[in-house]
Amino acid sequence: MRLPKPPLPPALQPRPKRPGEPRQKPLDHAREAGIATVDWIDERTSLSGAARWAMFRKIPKGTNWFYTLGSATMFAFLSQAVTGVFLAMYYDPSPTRAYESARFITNDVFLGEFVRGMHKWGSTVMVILIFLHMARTFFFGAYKYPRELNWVIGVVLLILTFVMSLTGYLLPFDQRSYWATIVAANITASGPLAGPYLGDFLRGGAEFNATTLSRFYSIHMLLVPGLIAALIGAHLYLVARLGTTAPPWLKPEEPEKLTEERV
Amino acid sequence: MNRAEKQSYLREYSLMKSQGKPFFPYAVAKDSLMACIVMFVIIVMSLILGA
Repeated sequence: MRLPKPPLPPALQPRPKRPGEPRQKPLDHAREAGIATVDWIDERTSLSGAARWAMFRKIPKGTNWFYTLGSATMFAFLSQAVTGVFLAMYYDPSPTRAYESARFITNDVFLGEFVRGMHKWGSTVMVILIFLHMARTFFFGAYKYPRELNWVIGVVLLILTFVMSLTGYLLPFDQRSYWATIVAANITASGPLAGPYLGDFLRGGAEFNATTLSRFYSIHMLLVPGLIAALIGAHLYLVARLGTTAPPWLKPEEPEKLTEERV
Repeated sequence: MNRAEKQSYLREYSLMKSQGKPFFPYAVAKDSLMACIVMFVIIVMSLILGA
């Protein structure tokens, strides 16, 4: 014997069909659900205004493929973030286990070599793209008024990317990465004034020791990615706020001047 | 850059913008295609050159 269904509250009862109204398909319900969800979020955050401002702003005429280098760099960073998360699931930053865990990722984890390869070559691609983006900015004069602050943020992002490359290079903990890091730390320590302090900070002491690896790992995993993400946010905000530069060889077409006769 | 030069640049830039196109969909389409190319290059390098 089937029990009767409990009565639905009025808000959950299906709307009675109106005369002439076409029968709704499942896709229509899904669309309405999507619109209702976006409406619910927008009512509480007013984000649609910001999204419209960012997406429907005008870009100057003459914008070409060179202008995609910035977003390409950002996508390379996103690829690094995603592959980095998967590598961190298996990597062990202890001096006795680091090399073995990197070898385990490459040889035993499903698609481990592929993801590790994407992370390795993605870093190279990201550095190349940053320099191409920087060259475009420089040669198009996009570092000048009123975009000087964005240029400074970009330079800081370049330095942070180098820090990521340096700290990431040690993590496989093989002979090459070990000696390359010692050379890099010694070069840093030979710098004037702050050099010796920076060298000691990187090594976690006067000599390369067990804490050096965990220090590099925490800088590579926690400190710098957060800084890069925050600065990319600021960089994008300023790009949307100030607009991208037009190519320097283009001049605007002057609007027709209103003469007294035409008025 | 003095005040007059700044005003002149801002005026010229606003004219260039008014004669341009909206970011969506024109620039978004180019950026998306470039992102696909970047991902393709990274994946191919990983497959051919390894870790």
